Amino acid sequence: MIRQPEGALIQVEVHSGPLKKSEYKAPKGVGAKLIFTGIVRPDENEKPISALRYEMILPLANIQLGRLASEIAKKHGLKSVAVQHSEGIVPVGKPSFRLVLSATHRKNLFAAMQEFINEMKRFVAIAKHPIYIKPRLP
Amino acid sequence: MKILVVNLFGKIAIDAGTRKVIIGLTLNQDELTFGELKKAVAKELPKIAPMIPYCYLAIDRQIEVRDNRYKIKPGAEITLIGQTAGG
Repeated sequence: MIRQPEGALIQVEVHSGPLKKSEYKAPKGVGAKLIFTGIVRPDENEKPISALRYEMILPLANIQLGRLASEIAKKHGLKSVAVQHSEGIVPVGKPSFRLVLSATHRKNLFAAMQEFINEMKRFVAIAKHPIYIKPRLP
Repeated sequence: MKILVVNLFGKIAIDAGTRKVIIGLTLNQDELTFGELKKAVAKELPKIAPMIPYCYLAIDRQIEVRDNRYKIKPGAEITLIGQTAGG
């Protein structure tokens, strides 16, 4: 965990496989905490899948996530940003991404959440590969 | 002949149908700029050429490069990163 000069706490974690339950606690004194959990859907490109395989370029993806978290915290005046992302295989229905934001007030949290996810998808060195379910022969 | 092995990552690898491309340097060339590398990859893999201008580069899996003037030295692990898909 890193404390930024502006006082925000930044935490970035990469986990192998599905994410476990979050034990992240927001810093003392915050008035709002927002949690987003990304879950693997049962289909990709309109075809059924059994899992997604996430591939990351490490440590670059970690560095990029930390930088993005710092920028978002500064821009939106957040008290903390905690991000967890899976690497490897994550079965359908299991969590692969979690973002926990906290601030003194709720006002900026929703915009910050959207912006973080949009930016992460745009440039962070993470690729996902669907593992398709082969159709059964009649 | 000196060569550069360029790893492809993200959607460009899927669309190119390969995860690696080899770029040959001329005899007098000791290094290549990122801009020159993009042109060479586009020439080698015309299928992904329209996506190349939007790519960035990872050097040794930890340095992010977007400046076309950046000089790449042979020996570095280089990965061209196209459209990503985290989350």
